[in-house]
Amino acid sequence: MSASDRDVIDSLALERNGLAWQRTAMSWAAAGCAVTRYFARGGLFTIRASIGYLMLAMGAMIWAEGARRYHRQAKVIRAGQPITAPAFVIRSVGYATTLVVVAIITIELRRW
Amino acid sequence: MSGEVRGPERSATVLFMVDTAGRSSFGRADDSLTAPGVRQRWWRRNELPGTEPDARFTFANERTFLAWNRTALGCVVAGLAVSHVLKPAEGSNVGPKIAGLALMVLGGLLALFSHGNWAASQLALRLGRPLPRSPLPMFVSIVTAVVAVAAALYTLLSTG
Repeated sequence: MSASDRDVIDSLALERNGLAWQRTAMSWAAAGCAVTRYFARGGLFTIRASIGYLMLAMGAMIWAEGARRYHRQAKVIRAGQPITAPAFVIRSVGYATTLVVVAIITIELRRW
Repeated sequence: MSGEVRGPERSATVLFMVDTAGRSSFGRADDSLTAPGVRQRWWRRNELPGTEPDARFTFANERTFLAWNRTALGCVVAGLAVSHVLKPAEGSNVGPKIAGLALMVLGGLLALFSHGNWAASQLALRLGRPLPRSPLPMFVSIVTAVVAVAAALYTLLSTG
């Protein structure tokens, strides 16, 4: 396989990754809208509603990070350097998701 | 065995551990292999040992993590919808609430374990080992099936 073939394969994989980040950002935004709608019935400026706003903000951050990574890694591929895994970002997204889910479950249980 | 490092320059702390047969287990890997006197910055402290794998494998692993993350979010929102939207015309609505809670808990567990799954797979890729078997697909299938059957039974019983 030539170097240019390799670049094409890696670039296409990177593109799929960029789209996956955008889909994830949209999922966060949609979930944030749904959660805000459910939790903001008592008012827009409540702690419960802020979970939804937090999810919307997460969506924005994931979108920005996905776009940043896409452009940065495209340069890395063109330079022929190895791609590094985004350990910190993935860890942050994983923990943030867990925290948000725990917060939602806690609010739901208190409403019972 | 987990987090095995042949060089002294990296440390590993992962949620899943991978043994020589490619099996994974939940736990904390040994991170005592950092070279003495070398302090890693806190955001790099969990870097995995080994060498960078093929970029396609790294990308594929990242996409898989993102897919699990979306699945976790979907479970949470589905749980909220089930517990709020499926209200019976009369009587108690404990059934939908329990089903919704089960879905939300499933979402939380997926969010937690998907990160460990990513770390275990990345570690296996970097060390050139077989990928660990993930328990997540079976777990999701079982919980989804149980919730679906319970919801169907509840619907039948509440309308009949």
